[in-house]
Amino acid sequence: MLGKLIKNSFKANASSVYNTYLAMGIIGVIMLILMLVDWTKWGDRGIGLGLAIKVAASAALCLAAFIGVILTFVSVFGEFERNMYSKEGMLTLTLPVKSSSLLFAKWLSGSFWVILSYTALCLCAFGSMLYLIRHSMGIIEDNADYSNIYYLVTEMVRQLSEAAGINAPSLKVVGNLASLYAVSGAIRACVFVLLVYFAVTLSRVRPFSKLGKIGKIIYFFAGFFIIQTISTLVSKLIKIYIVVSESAFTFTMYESDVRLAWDNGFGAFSITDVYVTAVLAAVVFLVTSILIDRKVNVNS
Amino acid sequence: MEYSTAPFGVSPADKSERRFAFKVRNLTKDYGGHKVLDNISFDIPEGKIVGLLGPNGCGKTTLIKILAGLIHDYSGMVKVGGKSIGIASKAAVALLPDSTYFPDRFKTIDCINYFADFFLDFNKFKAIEFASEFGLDLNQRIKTMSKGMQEKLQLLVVMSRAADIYLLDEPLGGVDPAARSVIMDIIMSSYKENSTLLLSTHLVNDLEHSFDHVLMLGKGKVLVNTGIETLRSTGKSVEEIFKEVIGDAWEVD
Repeated sequence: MLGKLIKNSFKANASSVYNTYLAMGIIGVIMLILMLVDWTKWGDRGIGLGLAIKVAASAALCLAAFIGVILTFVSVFGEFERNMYSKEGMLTLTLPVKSSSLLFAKWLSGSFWVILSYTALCLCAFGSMLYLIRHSMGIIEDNADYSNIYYLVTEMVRQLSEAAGINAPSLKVVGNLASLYAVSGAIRACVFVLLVYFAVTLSRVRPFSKLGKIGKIIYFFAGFFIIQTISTLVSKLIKIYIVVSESAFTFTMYESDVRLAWDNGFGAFSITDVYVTAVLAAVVFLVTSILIDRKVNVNS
Repeated sequence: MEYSTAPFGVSPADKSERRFAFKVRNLTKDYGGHKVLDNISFDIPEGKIVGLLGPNGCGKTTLIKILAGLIHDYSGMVKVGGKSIGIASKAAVALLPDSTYFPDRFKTIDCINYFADFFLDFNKFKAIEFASEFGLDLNQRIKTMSKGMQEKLQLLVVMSRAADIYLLDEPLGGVDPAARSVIMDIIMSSYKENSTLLLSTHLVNDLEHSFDHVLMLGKGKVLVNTGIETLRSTGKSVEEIFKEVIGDAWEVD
């Protein structure tokens, strides 16, 4: 049953974000075409115009991706409320399935689309940043081959490390660190989605429903504030890090190890708050599924 | 009250032997302080076609939603098919609500596949056959259907289940007289034998010949809960009794 719930949740979300991704794709293709055009054919004026268009196109791409993230959020959360607590809820909540399965399917699907939109935004922003560095710093010639991206990233890491006053880590270490940040970001996005589902659900439960639509926003921020506060407090009390080298991830509880790692071209990543956030998310999940099971009313 | 039998609708001798489709004790549900169901208790035996009757606002839809597991903030005990409200009771119940519930993006075939995915007692071939009889295109989207077509589709998928209990909330509401008999024929010909059918309606006259049992609600209370023979033994039609019993219950608090 869980597999069928997940399949149906993905289809429901896909149909609601379909238009957003189609629009983003079309904008992306147009922008890429504009960026790939060889403007030098039209002489000096063409080069100037081409540069302006390329910068505008990369900015437009980022803006489109940003709008895509917002529209995905709205679509995913709208779909949850519509499918669970409006007239469609009379079908969804009469299915012979556990409320936890139902919530998990919605959560998995919603998180997937939100993370996908967020990834698209990060890629657009990262790509645009590389593109701007290429032009503004004059590191390499335009229309260079793809191997130059390696050089660009190395250069970015070197400059950022210099600014931070540490030895520049190798790209392998940067890649390992980036994967940890990506996992952490994905976990936070999942918690974000879950908190919205919790807030929407709580706003359907008496006496919390008395606040009406504004209640969803209040409950979301209340939940967010509580999770952030607890994870920050616990992070200050218990410090757990992952030291990242080229070939290994090592746990440590000593800040001296962290300093040593950065000084020697390695990286370090604090995982306490991520861990605490994930544990609190499990509690929020449990509470939300109990509310769905025992407290929520469907009023079409 | 003249027509009301014991509050639980069956004689004490029967109670020990018979199983009940619905067993409700001290059920109270209010909306903002207004009690729609006020401490009601009743039993309905299995395998009956039950008419759920009462004036507007008397709590028929609320009761059906509670039995279907859609409303939770009530007090009292409710058992459906001998089970507390939960996964098992939901698996046994086929609900036809008083409004349409399929997502607009669905096609007819999506609705059928959705039921096939989640209800083990669903007969997909029967549903496709019904759709063909009703003249519904399997590839037509809900958003392009009229309200009447959506109601037909909903009815055909619900009645394609071999459920133990059917909860039908105003299945004839807003339907023209010609279509009523067609819909009732479908309901009566397709529900699983020995299952229980709870049917709420205002159209007492059209349906009274179908009922085995009548549950009348008014002013938040159970006014009548008895077998049809008991009512008919008075020499009056169900509609006449309905008017007589409901009389002062039309004025809802």
